[in-house]
Amino acid sequence: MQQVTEKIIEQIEQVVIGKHQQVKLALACILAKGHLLIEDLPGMGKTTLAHVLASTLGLSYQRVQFTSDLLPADVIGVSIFNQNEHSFTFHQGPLFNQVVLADEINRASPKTQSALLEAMEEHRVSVDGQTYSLPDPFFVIATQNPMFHAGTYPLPESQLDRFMMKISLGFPDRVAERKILQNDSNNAMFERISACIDTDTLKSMQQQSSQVFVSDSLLDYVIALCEKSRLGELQVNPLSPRAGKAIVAAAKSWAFIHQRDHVQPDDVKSVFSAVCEHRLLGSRHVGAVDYQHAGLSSKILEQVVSHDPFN
Amino acid sequence: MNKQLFLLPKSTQVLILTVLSVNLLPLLSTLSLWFLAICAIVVLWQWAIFKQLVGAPRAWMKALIALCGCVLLIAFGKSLGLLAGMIHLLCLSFILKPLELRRRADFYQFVVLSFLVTTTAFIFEQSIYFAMLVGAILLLNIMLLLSYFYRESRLQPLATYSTKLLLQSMPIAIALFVLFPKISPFWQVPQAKSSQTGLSDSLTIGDLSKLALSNELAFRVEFEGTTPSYQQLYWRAMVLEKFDGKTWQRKRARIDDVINYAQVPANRHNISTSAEKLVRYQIIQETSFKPWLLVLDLGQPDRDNPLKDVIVLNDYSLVLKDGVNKPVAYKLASDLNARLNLYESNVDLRFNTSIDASSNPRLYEYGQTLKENFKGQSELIAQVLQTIRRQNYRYTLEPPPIPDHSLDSFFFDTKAGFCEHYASSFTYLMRAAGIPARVVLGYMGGSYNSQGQYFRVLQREAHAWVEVWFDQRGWVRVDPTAAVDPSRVSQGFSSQLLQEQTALASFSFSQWMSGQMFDQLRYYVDMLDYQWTKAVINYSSLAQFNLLTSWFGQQFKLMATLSIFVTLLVVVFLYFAVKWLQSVKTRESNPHVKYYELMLKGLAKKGIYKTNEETDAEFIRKLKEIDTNIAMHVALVIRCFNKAFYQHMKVSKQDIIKMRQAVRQINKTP
Repeated sequence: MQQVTEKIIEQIEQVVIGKHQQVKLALACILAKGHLLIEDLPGMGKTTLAHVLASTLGLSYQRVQFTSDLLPADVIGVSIFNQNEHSFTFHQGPLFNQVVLADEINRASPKTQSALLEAMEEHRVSVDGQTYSLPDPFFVIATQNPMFHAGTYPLPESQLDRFMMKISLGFPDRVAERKILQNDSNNAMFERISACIDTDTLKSMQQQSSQVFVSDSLLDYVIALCEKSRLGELQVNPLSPRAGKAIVAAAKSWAFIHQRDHVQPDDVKSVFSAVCEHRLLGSRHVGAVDYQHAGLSSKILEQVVSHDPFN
Repeated sequence: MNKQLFLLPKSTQVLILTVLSVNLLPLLSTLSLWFLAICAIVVLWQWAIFKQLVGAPRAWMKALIALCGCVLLIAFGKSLGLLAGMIHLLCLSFILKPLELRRRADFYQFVVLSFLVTTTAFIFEQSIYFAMLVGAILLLNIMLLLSYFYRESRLQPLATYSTKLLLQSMPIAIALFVLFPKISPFWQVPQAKSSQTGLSDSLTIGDLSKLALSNELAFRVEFEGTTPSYQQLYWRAMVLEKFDGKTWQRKRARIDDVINYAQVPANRHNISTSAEKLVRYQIIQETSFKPWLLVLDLGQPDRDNPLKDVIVLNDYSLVLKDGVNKPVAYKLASDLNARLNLYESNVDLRFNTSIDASSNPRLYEYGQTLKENFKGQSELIAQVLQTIRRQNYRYTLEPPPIPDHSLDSFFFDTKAGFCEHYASSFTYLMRAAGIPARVVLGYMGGSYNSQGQYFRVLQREAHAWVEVWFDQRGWVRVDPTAAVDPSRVSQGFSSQLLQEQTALASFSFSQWMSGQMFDQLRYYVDMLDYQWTKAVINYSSLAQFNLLTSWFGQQFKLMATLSIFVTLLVVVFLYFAVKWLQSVKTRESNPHVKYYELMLKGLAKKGIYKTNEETDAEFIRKLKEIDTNIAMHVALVIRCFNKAFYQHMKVSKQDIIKMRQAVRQINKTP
């Protein structure tokens, strides 16, 4: 099983070059059954990452380009009157895929955003009194532009909370960028990608990573981190128990990726920024993506001693 | 060789360089020029090392430099004197210490040295402005210390944080200053050998006119109740009776002799007891390194507020046994109309008429003529004063050069001089005429600060006058200066005299401040300094006792406060001791935590810190760049710890042994 994770990462990295950490985080997010939000400037490889991830994991994949005039029915599907059968038949929207890439989610109107996000939480949609289950596994990978870009509707806190992680790719370094420039066009590369695993393997991997052992001392550490955010000293949005659960789940799959049967503070520290930064910031986040400083989450990490969290 | 493990943050290095150059500023006047040159070179060199223009020095190089410094110090030691010599040694070690910061302990030593060097300057000066300057420099030192722990590379937040800390500690400092028992020092600060301005113990022509160029503060006076008129402000310091033809000196040269033989017995402090006739005042005298206190005649220490170790001599000058080595405050009461020494033995009177006739023959001859022509003593004196007033004598700070300090050539030829010319010629003349006379040295007048309601007397107000013996009346003050320049004794320096003074004195800030433009400001500024001196510098154990008695009533006992303090200390100590014991207990029950923490401690000693944010993997990667050996041991400890703490929640014996060995290895590695 371990070789499988390595192979997956290796394959993704052939396309998304020089972003080892982000690739691992994205994989961890999926192993923890979480949805992923990628925030970055246009052209940084957000869509590429989502695309490669889906095809490597052998999942059915559909991309929805969000625009301001996109309606909920465009995402979920619509019932159309069938003249032959004299009845309405439901035509599934792009949501009925294992991986949905919601591109530039913050350009859609809040109404559409909330329709998508409801589906993310419930894993099913109701149309005309009928409930349709979404496929399993089901992931939404959403991308968004930084808020200062024109024509965007920022996601409210409650909806940001649905995403387990928010990651930014950032500019590549020189070596990586040279490689990117040398490479073929994206389409050619996507064609070469074949699925490494099938859905059952993914499900069993998810199962295994959820069974990684978490000790009480580690839970104490996570609790201490959450408590730090609630004291009001740092002026951040306090972390909810759901955030705490997300941290633990993400840390578990991080430990799984690193072939450990238990979670260490290292795992928490590695995923903490990705899991918590957007929750801590909330909708106050206005401005450019700051690649240099992880910011609020690192301030919280700084203040908690991992082996002695309550002191 | 290992790579250097102990790496100071860049901001700390910058601050070390700053502190090196700034800390010596308050000591500028004490340090000799050659030493300052060495300092400049060493600081520049360290700057070059910091900029990586040159490499770090080898051990033999450092030894050589230290040796050179010591040799120079020994060579110049004699001329420097003990105190300055020690300060030079301290500063030398201070500027050389940054060359060998190899461990954290070295850094601590440097910071302590740095604080010590800065505060040493208080030996020489204690004014409020100086204290502010030293305070600002101390702030830099605190920043230096903080920069090491705070891990903040920008200076501004460091400065803000340091200021905050300093302000927060202020109340504690003030409480300690006010309440903590003042114990007199176990050792005496050796006297500075430097060129203090002030009255010296002898008077040669030219001494006072030199002193008159100084605008430094001599002392301040605050009168209780009525203030005497300006003409009465003759502040007596000492009486000079012995004349060798050039220089006036005290009868007994050594101060010990004076104290042993020339005291007025307590029962002969014969000043009138009627309280309303007395003028009461408090004098706060600046450091003079001389034993003389100042008093209006005829005065004595206030009986209600006695200052320890004050001795009244039988010429009614006051002496402080150990000398005025720091600013002192004392209260006095004077009867301005009382007579000095109604009875004086013939031996003493004869001493006060003895002169060497050959030293100034013309003046002697003139005295003899006067003696023949005038029967009455008062007429004779009036005649001499008349002569000085009528003839074209001049009062000036810039007298024409007089060969060999001869009184003759002053009195008959140049006819221009400062108060000491007139005082010594006049005394000589009196003695030549057979009248006992002596020179008195002290200060005359003072400028009134209406904001603070006190007088300040500057060094330039130093004055010499004459006391002449009258039978039945005792010693009577005669001031020949009053004859030549009446305004000097009624208003102080005339504008012409001030002009001369400004022209002659080299430029100094205090003098610039004393210009007319800044009068108002100067008064405020001086008042501030006065209050500072009164309240802070002179806060002695007696003042503390008085203050505490006024707070806590008469029952207050020094021992009681001491015991309260000790109890408080013990309580605080116990609190921390219990906390420490608890932590030790928990550590013993969790050996893996203990070794993990020991490892962190050991690394911290080498200046390596694991931040909370850092993951283990990142930390080990960082260590590998410094020292692979240490990184290996640390990785082992971390692995065992994580296994015990996060995987099984229990720990195997073998792991503990491994951890212990690894920690030992880490501590052994330099």
